[in-house]
Amino acid sequence: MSIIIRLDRVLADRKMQLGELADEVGVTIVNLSNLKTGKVKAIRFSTLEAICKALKCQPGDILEYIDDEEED
Amino acid sequence: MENKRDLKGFKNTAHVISVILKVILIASVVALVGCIVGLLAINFIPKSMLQEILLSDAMVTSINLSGLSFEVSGVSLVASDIIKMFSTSLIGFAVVILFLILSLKQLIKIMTIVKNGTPFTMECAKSIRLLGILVIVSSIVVPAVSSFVEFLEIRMFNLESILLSTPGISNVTYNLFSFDGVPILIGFIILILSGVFQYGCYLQDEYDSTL
Repeated sequence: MSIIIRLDRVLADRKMQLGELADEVGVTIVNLSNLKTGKVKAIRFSTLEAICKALKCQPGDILEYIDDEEED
Repeated sequence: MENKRDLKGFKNTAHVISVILKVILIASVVALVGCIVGLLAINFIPKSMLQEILLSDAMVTSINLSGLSFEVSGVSLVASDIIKMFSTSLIGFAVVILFLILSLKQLIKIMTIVKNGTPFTMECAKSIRLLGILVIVSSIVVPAVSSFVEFLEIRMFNLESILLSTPGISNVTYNLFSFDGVPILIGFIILILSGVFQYGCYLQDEYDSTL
């Protein structure tokens, strides 16, 4: 997929555990894990806003676009 | 809050309907077993014994033809004709019950899915589609079978000759295949509904995979 989730990198920068983020955002650790591994199809603005607020970052820090053709 | 209460009420209703359907299913299975036992009994009973029962004055048979009901007694009937008619009637009744059982099983499956709170699943859509097919097929097969049984009864009691002996009545025919179009239409509506549910499954999947 062209959109890559960089949640693990931001979490590592902030020295934060996935469980802590899940508590702050108000979603289950399973769902956050699914987001981290790219298993979810879409993310709501409200969830993205909560994650950015918890991690004190911009959406661009979490989401990254990679052109599939360029990558090949 | 209001929605949650509505959902709980809906689940409770589904549960009650499911219990009622299960009771009807058990009764239908018992009736089907009764049909099979009756079918075996009528075919294994000695013909002489059957002839004796038929000739006895106490033997009164009630016949119902599309709402026209009458009683028959003391008529000299051939045992093989009686066996043939009873067998056909029982097979016809068994076919009707079989369709009822299959439809009830699908309905119970749908109600259980609804009760669990996940109506938009492929399993539910498949059950609704099967129910639609069953309604369409049964609306053709059931009237055909009952028409055939009635035709046999008319032939056995020679009702045509009674009609023909009445002054002014001629050209007596019997339409063996008559069916109602409304159940077929209902069946197609159910099939369309299953398509709607399939789209609902897709939307549910999209919703579930959105964080």
